[in-house]
Amino acid sequence: MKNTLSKTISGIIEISRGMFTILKHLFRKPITLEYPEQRPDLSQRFKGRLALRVKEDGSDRCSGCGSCVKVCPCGDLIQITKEKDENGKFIVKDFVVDMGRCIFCGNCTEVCPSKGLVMTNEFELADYSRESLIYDKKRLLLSAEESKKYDESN
Amino acid sequence: MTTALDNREMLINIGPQHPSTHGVLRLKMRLEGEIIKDTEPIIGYLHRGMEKLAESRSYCQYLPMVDRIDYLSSFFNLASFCMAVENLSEFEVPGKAQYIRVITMELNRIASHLLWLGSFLLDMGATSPLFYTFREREEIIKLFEDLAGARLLYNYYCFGGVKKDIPEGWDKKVLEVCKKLPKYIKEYEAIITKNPIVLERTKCVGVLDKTTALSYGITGPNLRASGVNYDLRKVKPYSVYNELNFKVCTAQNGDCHDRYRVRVDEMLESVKIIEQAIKKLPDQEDVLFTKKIAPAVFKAPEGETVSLIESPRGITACYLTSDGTIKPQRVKWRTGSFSAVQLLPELIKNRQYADLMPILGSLDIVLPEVDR
Ligand code: SF4
Ligand code: SF4
Repeated sequence: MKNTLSKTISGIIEISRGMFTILKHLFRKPITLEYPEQRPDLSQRFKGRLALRVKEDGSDRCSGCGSCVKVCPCGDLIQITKEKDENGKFIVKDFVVDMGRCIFCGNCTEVCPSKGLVMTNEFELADYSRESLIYDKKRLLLSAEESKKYDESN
Repeated sequence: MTTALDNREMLINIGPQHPSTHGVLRLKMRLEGEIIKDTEPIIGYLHRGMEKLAESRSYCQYLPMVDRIDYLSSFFNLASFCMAVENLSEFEVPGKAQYIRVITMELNRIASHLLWLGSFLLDMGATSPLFYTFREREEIIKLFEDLAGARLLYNYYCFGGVKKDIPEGWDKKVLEVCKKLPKYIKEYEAIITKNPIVLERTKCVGVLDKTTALSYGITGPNLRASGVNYDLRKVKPYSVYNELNFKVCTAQNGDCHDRYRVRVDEMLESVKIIEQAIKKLPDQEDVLFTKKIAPAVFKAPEGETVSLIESPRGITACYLTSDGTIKPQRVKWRTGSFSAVQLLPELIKNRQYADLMPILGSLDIVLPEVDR
């Protein structure tokens, strides 16, 4: 009897202690972010959608060396088509990345010798079909201005 | 399980899509009323062939996949695989990289335990702690995002070190979080530790004694809650753990409440480890890896090795054989959850059905780690 009584009393005390702790949160600032109105503050190193940088004059940085293809864990995810221009130099005609299969590991951007391939802060990649997730060179290219934002420093 | 059912018994199937099985675990149960007579865990729904995948990929191609073995403690898997490769190639990891590894691993341990704590209480019907633990976990994950660029799957370690230096002011932010954490943990304790409902549901429930734990090969907090003082960080210190001062948290009874105790204490110990490691972090020295390797053609010398790591869910071991080519010949993983899930039938035999959730929750099973 006495045991039950003391158990009840300590139970009530402990529950009210817990409830008081929870009540304290009522007066704290909320931590939730009202996405999409408010945007998260992403770090410089964030691994988002892949993109190709250009030089100041707007020409490609990518030389088509193929290092990125070799280190990608998903095999044929990056496909590069090269072509000889009139001077006999190789240029990258098309650069296709299947973002639907990319695991955003960042291996490809780390090995790129010309720092042409970067990961942007863009993370909203949802789309209605798998085909629309296959990005070709036109969609991957950044403007000269944007390219500067993702410079080598990070 | 195969014996014919008594006419008072019932065979029921839980999962694989069950919200509180922490993944996709299927349990076949023989019940007599509310009493669980027998259980058979059926695993493999998350099997991705992690070991086989290694054989068709080069070392660097395999590295990001290692993250996905246990997505709640990615750094430990990475460290385990990198250490195995480093053993073979005889790479010496420089001091700064070692400390960064220790800091990230311990932060990851806290993040993992926090998520466990939230979901453990959610299993028992308490919703608020989940929001609180996720709030703190978010702060840690934000730190990882600043450091490695990703929130869960980091791909941050490389063979012989780490890939990038810590960003400006990152160590200060870590210290700030470390300062806040003990306060938060005290708050959880106020809500949970002596709450009569929690006590009723966890005390003397799912008692795991020393001998059973050892015979099942249980490691990590589950083993330490049964009174075995075994922590790889002390017994066989890897990385720089022998230079850091911390104690191994143990408990005596091995019930669900003790497993909770051990994990909460471990979080506080981890905070201490991080604070020490930040102090010792060499700031001048800029060497982050042994030597620059060409990722596409990196070859580990012929041989075999095994590396052991104390992860939040027990010992994570990576066994690696190499035949000197750019692809590993064989990779074998051993993880703590795999042993823990085998223990489940033993612990819930002849107990009430309602005890299933606290027991399963307290073992801290992560299914992708079980199935690999
Ligand atoms: S590694 Fe860089 S330069 Fe080479 S093909 Fe890929 S994007 Fe182009
Ligand atoms: S981020 Fe990883 S998976 Fe995606 S394209 Fe680059 S290497 Fe391949």
